[in-house]
This record gives sequence, C-alpha cells and structure tokens, in this order.
Amino acid sequence: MKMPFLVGETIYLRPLEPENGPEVAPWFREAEFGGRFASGLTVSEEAARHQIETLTRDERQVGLAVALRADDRLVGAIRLHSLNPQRRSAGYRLALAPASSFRGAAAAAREATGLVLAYAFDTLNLNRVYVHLLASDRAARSRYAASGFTEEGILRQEALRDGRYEDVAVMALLREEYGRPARSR
Amino acid sequence: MRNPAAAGRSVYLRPIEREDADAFQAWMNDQEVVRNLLIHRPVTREEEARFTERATAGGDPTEAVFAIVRKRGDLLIGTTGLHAIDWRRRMAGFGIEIGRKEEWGKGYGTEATALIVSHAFRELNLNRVWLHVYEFNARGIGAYKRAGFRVEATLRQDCFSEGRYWDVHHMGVLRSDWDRARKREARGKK
Repeated sequence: MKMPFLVGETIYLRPLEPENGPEVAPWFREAEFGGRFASGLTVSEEAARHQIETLTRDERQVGLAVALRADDRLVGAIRLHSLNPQRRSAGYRLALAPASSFRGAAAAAREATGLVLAYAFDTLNLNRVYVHLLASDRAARSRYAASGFTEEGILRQEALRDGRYEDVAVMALLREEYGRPARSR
Repeated sequence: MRNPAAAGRSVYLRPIEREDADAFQAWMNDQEVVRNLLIHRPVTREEEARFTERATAGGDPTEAVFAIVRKRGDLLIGTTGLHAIDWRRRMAGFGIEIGRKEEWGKGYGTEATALIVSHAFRELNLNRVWLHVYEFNARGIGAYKRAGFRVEATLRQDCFSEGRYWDVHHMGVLRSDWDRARKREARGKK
C-alpha cells in the first residue's frame, strides 16, 4: 500500500494528491452530474490539479483517493464537502472509475463508504452525512440504503445530464443511526 | 551521526531535512501513529513538503523541531520539538512522535524526550516545558514522567477520538525540577 490513511479489506483510502487531478476530474464530473465541484465542465490538466490542491487546503473538505490493495491502482476519489462545524454535517461524494475498468466496483464502493462513515462519525465527530444521487440510479440508492442511509426526498430537476434535467435523491445517515445493527450493513 | 544537535545513548536529534518528507507523510497518514497526535486529516505530499520546508528553513523563533534518528543504522524513526516558544515567559510546548512503529517500546521516545527537555533548559534557557497527552496514551505518559514531567491538570473530554471523548492531561516540567533531578543523579553516581 502506498501512503495508506484508512485501510479496508480490498481497498484503502489515501490522501488525494494534486497530481491525481487529471485522472479523477472526469470521475467527479460523472458522480456530480454536471455539477457542484468547480465548473462541472472539462478543464485543463493544470486546472484539474489546481482543483485538488484547493480541495486539500480547504478546512471544509476532505479529499481521499480509493486504491486497490492488490496493485495500488487508483479506482476512485472521495470528497467530504460542505463540512459545517456548527451543524456537524457534511456531504459525501464517491466518484469511482468507470465500472468496466475494474472488478468489484460495487464492493469497493461499499467498503470505501464504510471507512468514510467511521471517519466522519468517530474521528470528525459529525452528526449527519448526506449524499446526492441521480434518482434514476437505483443501484446506487439501494447500495446506500444497505449502508444505513435513509431517503429523505427528491430534488426535482436538480441535475443536468446530456442536456436534460434529472431528479436527484437526497439520502442521509445520522450519527444516532450509525452502527445500529438493525440495518444490513 | 549526521549533523547532531543532541545525542543520547541510542538516539540523536538532528535538524529536519527536505528528504525526510516522504517518511513523515507516511507516518502522518498512519492511524495508529496519529491517534496520539492532533492531526486527523489526510496529509498530502504537498502539505508535508510545506512542513519540512518550514522546518528546514528555520528562522521561526517560536519553533525548534528535530528528527529523531536511531544511532544504529542511522535510521530516521520520528520527530520531536518545541512549539509555541514564548521567549518572555521562557516556556514552550513539547511534541513527539515515533513514526516507525517497529521501533516502539524500545525506550527511544523516553530518550528523545529527555534530550529535548535538556535542550530546552540548557541551550534555550527556558524555564518551563509543557505538553498535552491523551489519557489512553500510556506509553507517552510513562515516557514523560520518566523525563520529569508531572500531571498538572486534567482537561475533561478535551479529545475526541474513536467515537468518544477522552480526557487530556496537561503535564509540565520546570527548570528547578530538572536541576534537582540532575543533582540527584550526580549524587547517585558518586
């Protein structure tokens, strides 16, 4: 493992470095459906590196890279964003490499999310972690439900993809729900 | 030994150099190491480079940071230093970490702590050195006590780690404590 920060069974999380910018920028664009991170448009490699550099210096964000334990390959990137110190809440964004490029993408996502949640609640002392997903992405919605997240509602026409508006589902996990055995985590 | 600032039986302290950054970055991302420190975010290469650059450049009168090197094999094993040096009140905060986990439990932390305390009193002419240690860090507390620190206050629930709050001990050692201990030591040798 290279520079492990949080270690799982098949993947580990390490600091997201500016040099990873050009590689992860399109993953973030996909995961954020045209949006929240920077312009959401294709940017130069230099600008992509600069975006990561800005992210890592921002107290209200935490950037992490997802790497495979088997060969240290970078397969995803994570942002905890909008960290609010008073409300103790944060948004979570997991941007994986296209599923076709590595095996076990769903398992990797589940594991990465588990590591981030433990970090968010047990180290950062947060109270609420939320995630925005395309409402049409049923697989992701059930994956987060399996991780304990509850659906809170639908933001209508919040995303723009391929020239069309799409609905976005808001899901969140509260500290009091975290680690409860009732759910299938 | 390369450029030693202070030397003990098994370890010595030397100024930080730029090429130490890679080892430092790995330690600062290792959860077993940082659970005893204030750091809780991932540390990028750039951030670590900035730290080593600052430490290497010197010039900050409020900081005195050193690398801890095992004499055998000239192996870099950690860092230690005095922070927030207050030259008027002649006091400083103390910090240490042995990043190379294979070297834990060998007394190197105790030795490095004694070297820094000695440096603080003899070289920097300070009057007081203080530190914060988490209640679960028994190894650290033991090392600090052996170096002459004592618990002056316990800050209730001052630390959050592993999903709960923990107490933090505020420890301190005075120049007069240290002088007395040196005298006792000298008498013991006679």
